[in-house]
Order: sequence, then C-alpha cells, then structure tokens
Amino acid sequence: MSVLLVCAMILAAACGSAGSGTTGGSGASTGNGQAGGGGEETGPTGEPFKVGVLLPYSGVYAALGESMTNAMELYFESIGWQAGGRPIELIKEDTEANPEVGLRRVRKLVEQDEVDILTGVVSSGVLMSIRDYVDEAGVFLISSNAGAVPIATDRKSPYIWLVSYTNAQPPSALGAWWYENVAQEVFLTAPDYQAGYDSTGAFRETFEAAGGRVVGELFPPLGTTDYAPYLTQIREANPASIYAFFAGSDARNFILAYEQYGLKGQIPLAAAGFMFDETTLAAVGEAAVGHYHSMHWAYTLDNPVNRQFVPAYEERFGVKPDLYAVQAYDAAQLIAHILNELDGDISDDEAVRQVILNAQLDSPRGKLRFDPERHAVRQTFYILRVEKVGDDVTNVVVDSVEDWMWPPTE
Amino acid sequence: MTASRAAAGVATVAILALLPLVLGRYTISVLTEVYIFAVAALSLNLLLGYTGLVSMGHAAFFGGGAYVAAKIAREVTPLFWVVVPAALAAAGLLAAVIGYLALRTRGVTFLMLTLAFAQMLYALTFRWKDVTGGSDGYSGVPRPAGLGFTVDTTAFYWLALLVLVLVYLFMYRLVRSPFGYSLIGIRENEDRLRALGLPVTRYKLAAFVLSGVLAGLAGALFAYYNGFVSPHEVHWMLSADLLVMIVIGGVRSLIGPVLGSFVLVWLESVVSSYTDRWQTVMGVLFIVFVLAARGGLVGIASAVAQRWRQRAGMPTTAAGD
Amino acid sequence: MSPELLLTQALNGLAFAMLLFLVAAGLTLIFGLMDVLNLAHGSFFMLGAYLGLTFVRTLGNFWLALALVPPLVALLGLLVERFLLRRLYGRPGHLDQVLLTLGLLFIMADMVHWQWGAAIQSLHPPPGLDGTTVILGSSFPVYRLFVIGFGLALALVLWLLLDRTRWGAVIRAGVHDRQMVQHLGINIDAVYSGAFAFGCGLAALSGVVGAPIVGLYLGLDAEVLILALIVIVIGGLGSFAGSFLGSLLVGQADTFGRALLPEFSMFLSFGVMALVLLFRPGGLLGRGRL
Repeated sequence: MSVLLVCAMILAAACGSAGSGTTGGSGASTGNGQAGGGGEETGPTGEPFKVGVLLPYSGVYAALGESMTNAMELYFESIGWQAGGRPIELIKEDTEANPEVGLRRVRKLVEQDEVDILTGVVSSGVLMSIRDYVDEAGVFLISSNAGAVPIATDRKSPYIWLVSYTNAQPPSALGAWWYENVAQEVFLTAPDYQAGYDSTGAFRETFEAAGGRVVGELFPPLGTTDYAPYLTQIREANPASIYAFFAGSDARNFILAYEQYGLKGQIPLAAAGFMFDETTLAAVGEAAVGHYHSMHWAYTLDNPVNRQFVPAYEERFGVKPDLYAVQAYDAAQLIAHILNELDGDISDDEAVRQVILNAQLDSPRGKLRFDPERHAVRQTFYILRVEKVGDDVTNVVVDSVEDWMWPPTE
Repeated sequence: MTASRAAAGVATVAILALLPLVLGRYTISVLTEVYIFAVAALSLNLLLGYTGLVSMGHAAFFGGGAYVAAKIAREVTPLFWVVVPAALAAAGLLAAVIGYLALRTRGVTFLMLTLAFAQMLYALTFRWKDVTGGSDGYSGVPRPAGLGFTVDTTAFYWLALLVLVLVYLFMYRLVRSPFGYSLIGIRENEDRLRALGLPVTRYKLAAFVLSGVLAGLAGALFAYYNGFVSPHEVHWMLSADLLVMIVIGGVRSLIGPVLGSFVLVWLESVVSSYTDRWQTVMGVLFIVFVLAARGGLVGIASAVAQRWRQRAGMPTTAAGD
Repeated sequence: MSPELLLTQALNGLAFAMLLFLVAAGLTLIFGLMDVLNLAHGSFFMLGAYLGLTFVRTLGNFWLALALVPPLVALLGLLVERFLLRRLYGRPGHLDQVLLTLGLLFIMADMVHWQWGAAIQSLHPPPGLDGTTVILGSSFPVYRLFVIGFGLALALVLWLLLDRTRWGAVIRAGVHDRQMVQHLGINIDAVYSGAFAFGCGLAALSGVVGAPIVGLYLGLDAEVLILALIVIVIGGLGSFAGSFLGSLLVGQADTFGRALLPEFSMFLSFGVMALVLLFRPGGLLGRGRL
C-alpha cells in the first residue's frame, strides 16, 4: 500500500515540476504580439529576456503588487516589449509579503524559470530573507520598493540595487527642514517593529543635528486598530509637533484617530512618505489636510516625465498611480537601459554594474543616479503638505531637498 | 513489520533518494521542504493522533528550535553537531515548561493554553528585535558544517530525507512500544487508565516534550535550509498548517502526516500557479476530509485496498501501517 | 495620569469592550450550548464589516445596513450549521468541529479577499454620529459613545432574552444539561441551528458597528478571533455574564496596557489568559467546565 502512495507522490512531484514549469504566480506576461512583429532587427541573441517579478499579489500589500506590475507593463509597452534586441518577458511570483514564501518563489524563479534578472520586492522582510540566496546565485536584483537599511550598508551585495530608496532617506530628509520651518520639539511615534524604529531613528538624526529636541516617543504594536489610548497619551505630553510613521491600515487608523481626538490643527504632524500616499488619502480624505510629509515623488509633480506618466497611467488603468508604481516604472526603465547599453548581453557582471553606476534615469520623480557606496539612488525629496485642491485631497509640494542620501556617505 | 512492508518501505526510500537524478533542482528543493515539514507534522501527530492531545501551539517548538539553531549557526559555529543538539535542547526545555503548565488542564482549555503560550512566544520574538531581528527576521544563517561533505541542494535533500526516515522509524518503534500503547490508551480513555494507576499526566508530559524536541529538529533543519527564520515560524497559523497536513494525510497513521505535508506544500507551490484561490481550495479540501474522509488519504487508500482485497478474495487485514 | 486622560482611556476601553462583547457573547453561547469552538467566529465579524461597507455604499444608509447585514450573515451561519456542522455531532470528541471551523476560516478569508480585494478600506460613521464632543475638557469621538451605548443596550436586551423568555430558558438549560433538554421533547436540532445562526449574526452586527473604529482589512478575522477567545476563556466558557465581564477586563487591559506598556501589550493579553487558565481553568465565572 505504501508503494501505491509513493507512486502517487512521485506522480504528483512530476506533475508539480511540469505544472510550475509553465508560468508561475499570477502568470507571465509578454508583449502581445508586439515583441516580434514590427521589430526590424532581432539582435545576435534574440532570446527572450526573462524578468523575474517578486511582488505581493495577495495579502495586505496586494494593491501595491498590482500597481507596480501595471507600471512596469506600461513602460515595457511604451518600448514595444523589447530592448537590446531581445523580447522582454515578465514572470510574476506572489511573495504574499511573507519572507518564507518570498524565498520559495525566488528559488523557483532562479532555478526553474531561469530568469535573467530579478525585480520587485515590497517588504523589507522579504528582501532580507532572499538577500543571501540572490547574492550566492549571482542574479541581479533591482529592488523597486524594499529599502532595508542593512542592504545599503553592512549587508550590501554587488547584485542588489535599490532603485526605490533606503528606509532612512525619506525621514532624514524631513528632519532638518522640520526644525527650521515648523517646530523645535518633536514627539516620535511609529509601530513597534524594525521599520518603525528605522524611520523615527533617521528623522531624529537629522532633526537633532539641526538643533532639535525629541521630547518623547511611543511605539504602538504593529496592526493596532485603535489608536485612542496612544493619542490621548501623546496629547497629554503636549509636544510642539509630532513625527509619525505608519503604513497601510495603521496609517488610516492613526490619521482618523488624530482628527477624532482633537490633535488635528492643534499639533503639527510630520510623516515620511507612505503615510499620505494616494491610497491612504483616498481612505481618509479631509482628515489628512494640513499634515506634512516628505516623499521622493508627488502626484502633482511638474516635470516632463511625470506630466506624461500620470495621464498615461490613468488612461491605461483607470486609477491614479502611486509612489510604488513610479518606482516600478523606474525599475523597468533601468532594466531596459541595461539591455540597451549591453546589446542584450548581461553575462558580464562588472559591465552590468558599470552601466548601473553610470545611469542617469529620467524618472517621474526627477533625475536619479546611483550612489556607488550605497547601491541605492540619490534623489530629490519633496516636502509635501496635504491640501484640498478643489474637490480633491492631494499632496502639494512646499519645498525640496536635492540629491539626498541617507545614511550619508563621506 | 512484515517482510513485504519492510521491502516496500526500503523501495520507497530508494526511489526518493534517486529522485535528484531525474528531477530538476527546483522540484528537489520543494521536496526538501516537504520532508522538513513532514517531520514537524509527525511530531505533532504524536500528540494528536496517538495521545489525543489537541495542541495549537506547536509552532512554538518548531520556531523556537529554528531560532536557536539560526543564532548558534551564525554567531557561534555552523557545526551541525553543535547546532542541532542545542536546538533540540531548547525546544525540549520549552516543551517541558509549557507542557508542565498546560497539561494541568484538558480539552478546549488545554488547546487555548497551548495557543496562548505560543502566541506569547510570537509576541516575544516580534518585540525582541536585538536578539531575533524582530519582524524583519533573522538572516545570514550558514549551511551546516562538519558533516564531512559540502551541503548543496542535493546533499541537503538527502540530509532531510535521512532525518525524515530516521524520525519515521523512531516513531514506528515508539508507537508499538509499551509507552506508545499507553499513549493510545490515554487517547481512548484517559480516566480508566488513571484509575488503573498509570501516571497519566507524566506520560502526557513525556509525549509533549518528545514531540516538542522532534518539532525543534524540524525547525533546525528549516533554519539551515532557508538560511533565514522569521516570526512566521512561531505563529499559530503554522500550527494550523500542521493540523491541516495531519488531517488530510491521515491522523491515525505515521505516513499520513508525511503525505499531508506533501499535499500542503504542493497546494502552496503548484496550485497557486493556476489560481489565486488556492486557499479556498485548501479550505474546501480540508472540510471535505473532515466530513467524509476522517482517516485522511491513508484512510482512503486503506479502504480502497480493503475493497480490492475483498474482491480478489484475499484475506483482509487491519488498516494502517 | 491626569483625570482627563484616565477618563478618556476608560471610555476608549469601554467602547472596545462593547465590540468584543458582541463577538464573545455569540462565541461563548455556541460553545456552551453545542461544545463547538467556532474558529470562524472572527470571520463572521469580518464578513459583517465588509458586507456593511457594501450595503452602505449601495444603499447610502448606515442604519439600513445595520438592520440588513446581521440577518443575512445569520442565514449563512444557519446554512453552515445545518449542512456542515450538524454532520459532526455524532463524532466523539470535539476536534472535528473545531477543524471544520478552521477550514471555514481559510475559505471565508479567501472569499473576502476575492470579493473586496486586499487594500484597506474604511467605513465612515453615519452622519450625525461622526463628530466629536468634549468630555472633561478633552475631545472624544461621538461615535465611540454611540458604540458604548449600543453595546450596553444590547447587553441588556440579550440578558433579558436569556433570563426572561422561554427561548432563553431553553438555551440556559441546554448549556447546563443538553440531554435533559432533549428528554423534555424540545427539538434540540432547531435550538442548535438557531443558536449558531444567532451567534454569527451577533458577530456580524459587531462587525458593522465596529467597522468605523477598526477599519476593514485582511487579517481582521484572526485578530478578532484571538481577542474573543481570550475574552471567553477569562470570563468562563459558556457563561454569558462571563463574556461581559471578560470583555470589560480585556477591553480595559488592552487599552491601558497599550497606553502604559505598548511593547508588552500583546504579551500581556495572553499572559492574563494563561494565568486565569492556570488558576481558574473554568474562567472567572465558569461553571468549572474544562
């Protein structure tokens, strides 16, 4: 009887390898007939260039996975789904924003699908879990969101490049500006996990260096639904200003409670980016008006690339693009750029690195270039304030900090 | 074990051992994970299937073993012969403490207590960033050293398979020993055994600790295999996954949890390629098994085998290994 | 801590406690009567919340949603009990029922994901209740006061139902001694179905009422379930009064715990439950049932 069972197992294993041999995750997308047709020449290789996309397509961050994929497809469509003489193919895998799952999926992409390059990764947890594997396997990873600080410092890899940001960049950019323009005292609050500590820590560094004083800090558990106890606590301390870092449902709950407990309009609130992105603004509406944050992109940013990107995205997908989409768009741009510069041949790792280091990307955020020390992009951070413009609640640029990198390189 | 059964077992293991020669690297790594979780599921089944204890906190021992193994491997020495015993000791200690406290209760209360302790450990793992890396997890765990050969994908596959076979054989002997029969007796009618003078709680504790140690072994392998451990390993959802494996595989057998591990990992890796609704598939499958196929896959296979034998006029035997 | 802060926190804790109570009451009732630990109870809460969102969006009226969603979810609960759970009553032990509800948890979570997507959503309190008021010099959201009032009123109604009506008597008797109720010629199957449906409907009600406070996101089901489990264990499995007391305790402990020791709040809730279980396994007001 156990023989029967074993046969069943082997059969299933065989089916398994065959099944996942086709396409993984949420399916691959290639140029729909545009790849081959119309292209005058196919280069010396002409073999499909496989891009492994690691994004969360389920779970709390699924919306990000979707917008980021949209943006990549938008870019690749605009160049006819080919670069460097090779047709481009996306193979998507769902990380579920879970480190183990992410590791399993990256193994599949590298070992089974034999992708040429990797991109994506939303959560720092996944980035940290796959770092060793990617480094060992020698496959380049262009991170279009996750920016865990160790990946830019002591756990750098010659194969991992952050086209998004480092977790320390947005808050640190705001720190000195906040001291000079809004308040000399601040109360820090963020969820009780690594990213929360990183964010408040980075803000504190530049804020204190400018002369500011931190009067208190509070770290509610991640996933808190009810911020009432914390806000009443903070209100009690009566600080001159508050810096907060929350994302996703936490951000929404915090912002609404901030208004409900009478802090809105009384105590200025600063945040780093994601707390006031388009998605959260849609969920909280006017409760966010008057709050400040720093982000490396704003919907209303006025530069040629953004002026073209935003309507193109909206027309194609029917919703507003968000910061994550922009980053993914840039990742796609970088990948195409690498292919073009090297005529589709990325077998020489050093050559790829040189291309990345010399790249000057024209992003909807402005100009980007890579910091050789940090393996992350130096970029402009915009100081934004949420305002009501007509019927719309959106981010308005108030100031900017150029060519910013944190942790700084000397 | 009858001679034919033993032969079948050996043949099965031989076939599995030869698979790396035919199957691709990715499939082999998936199967390695199956084996690791099979060990964990087997350990839980010692409690559930054989002693009748429903524990929702098994992730504590799996994850606990994984973290200890990870930390020692990265910070002290990657030597297999140091890391694994340390992980086993840690898991055993944890199981002893939790078991001692939880086994003062029974039934649903016991379930709740095991859940509570596991979640407390989860909360601790999450908060104690300096030690565990917090929510970002703990990475950089090196490959096992000191085994006399470099442990690459194929070698790890064989290592995991070997551990699974050893654990399986150990459990096989255990459930047929006097100790094992006592456990089954406790499952069937605890009060009667108590009345007969058996130190029931002590036996339950022994089973609890033993199963915790084995779960810790699986955890240590997991840490080595992934090079990474996160609080997910200590979360009650992992305990729930192990339960699903056991029920689908077959709760009154040893091969059941192994099969169940296979099914669950297959569902997660393969079915998810075809549909985003694979969790619904898993849930439905699970419910179907609970309702109609309580013996799990093993039960179904047994029933089919029985019918086949009946039809062939052969003497029918009792089901199960 | 200033008196204003103390009062605000206490009120916050009370509002949270009321939400927990509505969920826990159903859970403890189902367990007490049917010996079924419904692991999908948080899922019914979540379903109620999401359905509430959809109803409010399409009907434009919060109160209509509040009236329509619970009966709808109760109906679903009825179907689940009648066609799935009921098959397991003959089985020894209670493991199978628990496992079935676990399977339900997986399915319902996925269905919600499929229907409503993974982005976080919010439900605004109905107009009229969406402002803030001033209590002892501090602002406090009106909606939370509503939740407190609503919860207390409902607790009273439920208690009256249990204590003064015939159905209540049957339920109480059933919790105490199932077989006796059967011997009295009462259709225990109908009672079970009704109780299960009612419990689920109650959870959904809490979901609709609670949605403006807690928000709508995947993972809500597991979070609510864990909290409800803690409540009923502390209060006493099967005890209605226990679920009320437990909710108050957990609601306040959670709120104050978070304000005073945020890093340990998760740890604290489970620790309290573990302590209660170790020294009073039946819960604070339990009947000594293990």
